[in-house]
Formats: sequence, structure tokens, C-alpha cells
Amino acid sequence: MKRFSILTLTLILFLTMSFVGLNSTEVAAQEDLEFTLLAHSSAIAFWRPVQQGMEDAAEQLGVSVNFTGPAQMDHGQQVAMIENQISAGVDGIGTTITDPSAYNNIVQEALDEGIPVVAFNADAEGNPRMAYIGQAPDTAGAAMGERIAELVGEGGSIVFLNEDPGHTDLEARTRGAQEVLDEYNISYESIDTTTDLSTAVSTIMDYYSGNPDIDGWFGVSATATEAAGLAVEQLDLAGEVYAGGFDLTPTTLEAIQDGYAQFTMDQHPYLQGYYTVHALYLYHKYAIDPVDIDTGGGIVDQSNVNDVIDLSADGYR
Amino acid sequence: MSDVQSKNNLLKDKSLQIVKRREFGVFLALVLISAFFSFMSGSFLTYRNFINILRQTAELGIMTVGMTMLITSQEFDLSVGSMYALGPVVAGTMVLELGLNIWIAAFLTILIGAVLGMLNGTITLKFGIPSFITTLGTMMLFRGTILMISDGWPVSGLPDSNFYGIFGGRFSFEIFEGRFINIPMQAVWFIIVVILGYIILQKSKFGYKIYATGGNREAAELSGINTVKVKMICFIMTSVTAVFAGFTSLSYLGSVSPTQGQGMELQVIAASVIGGTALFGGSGSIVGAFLGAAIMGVVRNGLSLMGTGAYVQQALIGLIIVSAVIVNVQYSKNE
Repeated sequence: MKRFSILTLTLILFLTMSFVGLNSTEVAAQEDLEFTLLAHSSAIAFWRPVQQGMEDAAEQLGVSVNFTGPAQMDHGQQVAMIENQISAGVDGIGTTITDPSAYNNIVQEALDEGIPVVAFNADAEGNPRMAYIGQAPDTAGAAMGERIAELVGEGGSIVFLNEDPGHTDLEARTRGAQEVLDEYNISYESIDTTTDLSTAVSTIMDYYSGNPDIDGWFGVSATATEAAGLAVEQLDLAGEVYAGGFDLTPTTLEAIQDGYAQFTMDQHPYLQGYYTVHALYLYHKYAIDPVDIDTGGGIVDQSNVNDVIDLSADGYR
Repeated sequence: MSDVQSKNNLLKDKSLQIVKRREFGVFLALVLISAFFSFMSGSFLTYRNFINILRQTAELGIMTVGMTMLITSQEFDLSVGSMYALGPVVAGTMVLELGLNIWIAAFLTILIGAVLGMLNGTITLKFGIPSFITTLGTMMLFRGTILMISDGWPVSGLPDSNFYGIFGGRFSFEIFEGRFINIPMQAVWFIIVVILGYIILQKSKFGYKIYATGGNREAAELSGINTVKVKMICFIMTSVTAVFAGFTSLSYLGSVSPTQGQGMELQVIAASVIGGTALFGGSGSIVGAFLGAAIMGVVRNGLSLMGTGAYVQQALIGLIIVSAVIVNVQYSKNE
């Protein structure tokens, strides 16, 4: 029995060793700097270009970087991970900040230890992080609202799809869009799709059977937007119900190409990974304090989808 | 002493022996895993990291104490992850919407937690529904309720109170001039709950009743133990520990998201089982629960120090759970 337990343990430890190299993208470190980027809901396709940008920057600068984060949004776990990075003594931390206050103390703790912290992708007002690199959620939401109004026209009704209820930036995008829709007298609701794509698609299909007069559904982040296009395809509603939302995943871009979805808002996730590594690097190299960078709010629709679809499949857009 | 009683005592002695041997096995596993991480990362074996692990494991560990007693009495509770969010969401909402003092709100919420634990117990015991199914239902019921109460939005921006310092702050004292020791209060509460749990399960008469109920319910009833009452109290303790763990998290983060603790129920059960609690009741220990939670915490912390990605962490934790259960079941067969 004892021999059996020891054998099992040895096996686990061995497997751990062999796994370790898999996910950490360590590039030959000339500068001997090590940064860690942490993302909420890290198990979704959205982060691929962020990681790609991060790795490209690391390779150019000769630093090593790790990408991690809880698989599903979990502030307690993400804060614990940041805490571990502080005690591991990394040279810089990039993190998404998806709660109004949960990250305040831990970010301050890192700064007190002399570790620079930059927020990327999602930010909260009042957090002591040095800078925010990402899209301004309210203006992006407003741009989305304008596009929705163009599609459905005065007095229509639509539903927002939210995969992370309580995520402050997604709520800010939704509010930004809602303010515009109010001007056009368009009514709206918001439903929780979860980060699971197939659950999201069924949720939308169920919503449609209860609300067959709906004019369109729009995701406020990546998975929900994928689901928006897929639901139109499944229900065979192309041309009757509009779909769209945020982020450039291959599924969403194919839906636009095939006419199941009309548009998606681009926040340039590649830049969020790329610039975050640069900001942390420049802080060490030339004592340049990180500055806010708006990674923009472009729109991809039928007119330019062909330019980006291959790049998205390769993980750049 | 009647035959049944002496038989029960014998059963308890035997199960305690098994428990001791298991605890040692779990401890050995913890030492080996820690040795591995010390070898892999220079920052693992430091005082600071030790404190970090204790803090990071506190919520899981506090819940594991309640769960271990419940599983020992031969029942399960899948609703603890929801309860863990429900506690701080309800208390925080009372503060923000009703203007209550957080101490009063927390006290009321503990009572609500006890009532909901009783609900789990009543459905399971009075209607004879397996607790696995009962609490699967209430898990979703509670989660949905929290989302409704909070409108999907995190509860934060609560007015200052010493409550948060006591449950989630840092306890610091000077060891000698200018040198302070900082201990997170979450870790302190974790230890307190473990000690209380140890006294209840392993040193009190009630603990004996839990072992007897989970080990052989018929024999326990014959010797005059009200097994329904025993199980009911275990359900209540499990809910209350989950609500309490939620308070420590709220105090530390200053915010609670309505989705917090999803999937936590399985981690709690896993920690308990890694700690040697028999899945079919009658055998379990709080020291084991502590060690089981510690293993989960050490693995997460160690992998994170090594810079491992989230996916790999998840896979490895799964692997460790399965291996631990295999060892557990093998032991049970041998006894």
C-alpha cells in the first residue's frame, strides 16, 4: 500500500515537471527581467491575441513573460495569484481589473514592494495601478450603440448578452450603448449567457422563443458575441434578426462573412499584451512611468472582414 | 454498558486508529509536495509565502471543516459555494440598502445561513431525498437568488467598520524594536475554526454521535442517538462555515461578486476527501481536513510561483484529487 502511494506521488510530481514548460512562454532572457500578466476568465479564446502580443514583445525585448489567471472570473483567486507573483519577486505585473475595489489593496502591496503594476483590458476607477492599457469601455459602448441604432432604427427592441455579470467594464460598455439607444427610443434588456459557448447559444434561442418580436441581440464581450452569430445561424434568422457585439474571434468573423452577424467592435487585444510588456520594460530600462494607452474602438463589418479573418485565425487580431 | 454501546465504542476506537494512520499519510504527501516546490522555486520556502498559503487557503479550509463533519455523518452539501457568495452579498446588501450596521447584518446573515442549512437538512431527511440531489437544487436556487438580489453587480463600497479589520485585515505585533510580524486575520480565523472543529468532532460527545451516525446509522439509533438531529446540526454547521468563509473574503477584498465561489463546493469536498474523509461516512478528521485543504493551497500556490499557466494548474489539481481519492479508497479496502 505504502509503495503504491509513493508511486502515485512520484508520478504526479513527474507529470508536474513535464507540464511546467508547456504554458509558460519563456524567451531567452537577455535582460533578466520577468513579467507576469494575469487575466480574468483566462480560459476563453479572446486572450489568444493578447498572449501573442505579449510573446512578440517579450521576444523583441529579450525578457521572459508568463500568462496566467483563474479559468473563470474569480477575484479571490486572481488576487491570490497576484499575491504569489509578489512573493515570487517578479519584475512587473500586468492584470485585468474587473471589480470596483477588490484589487485595490493587492495592487498597492505590489507597488509598495517596488513592483510596477499596469492594468490591461479592464480597469477600475480608484485603483492605484500605474496606467491602463485598453479600450475605454464607455466610448466603445457608445459606438456600439450608434451602430445598433443604425441597424434596428427608432423604436426597435434588442437584448444585450453578458457572459460575466458584474464585470465592471462590460457593464460600462452596456451602459454606454444604452445611453445612445435611449435617444433613439430603442428598448433593451440584458441576459446572462455564461462563458460557456453552447450554454450561451441555447440561452439566446430560448430567449427568442419567448420574445419572437426581438430585432437583434448583441454581445458585450467575446463569447457572448460568438453565441449571437451562432444563434442566428441555428435559428435560420439571417436578415430578420441582427447580431453583433465585441471582439474578433474566428467564429464571430466567420459569422460576419456569412451574414449571420453584422458587426463587431475591435479593441485590439494584441496591443493590450504588446504594450503592457513594453510599458513594464521601459519602466525598468529608462525609468519611464507607464502611461494610459487607448487601444481603440474600430469596427469590423462585411466591408473589412476579409482583411482580418486570416490574421485572427493566426492569433494576431 | 449495553452491547450496542460497547460495539459503538469499539467502532469509534477502530475508526480513530484508521484516521490517525491516514492523517500521517496525508501529512507525508504534504511534505513531499512542499519539498518538490521548494526545489522548484526559491521563494516557496519562506516565512512570507507560508503566511500567504495560510491566507489563501483560509476560505477553502474553513468550509472544509464543516463539510468534513457533514460527510462523516454520511451526507453531502453542494450548496456551499453558493452559500459562500450568499453570505457577504446578503449582509452587504443589508448594509447598503437598509442602512444596517455590518455587525448586525452579519449576525442576521449567519442566522439566515443556519435556516438555509436547516432547509437542506429538512428536504434531505424528512423527504428522504439524497443530499447530493437536494443540495444540487439548492445550490442553483441560492445562486439565482444572489444574482437577483445583487442584479449581477458586485457589492462594494461598504462604509468603514472594524468588522473588516477583524475578519480580513492584518494582525500585527512587534517582536522586537522596529520588527513587526504581520499575520492576516483570515489565517487566524482559519486556525480558530480548525481548533473548534477538532474539539467538536474529535473531543466532544456530539462528535462521537457524528461518527456513530455515519458509521452505522441503525446501530447508532439502537443506542439512542437521534441521527436525524445529528445530521441536521451537521447541515447547519456546514452552511454557517460557508457563510463565515464568505465574510472573511468580503473583509479581505472589500467587495463580493455574486458569481464568487462557483465550483468551490467540489474543491471543498475534494479537500475533505484528500484529508482522508471516507466518502461513505463514518470516518474523517479535522486534522485531515486541515491537511487536505493545505495540499490544495500548496499546489495552487506552488504552481503559481513557478509561473505555470491556469490551464495546467487546473489539470494538475484534478490529477492530485483523483490520486488522493485512489489512495483513500485503497486504504479503506485494506482496513
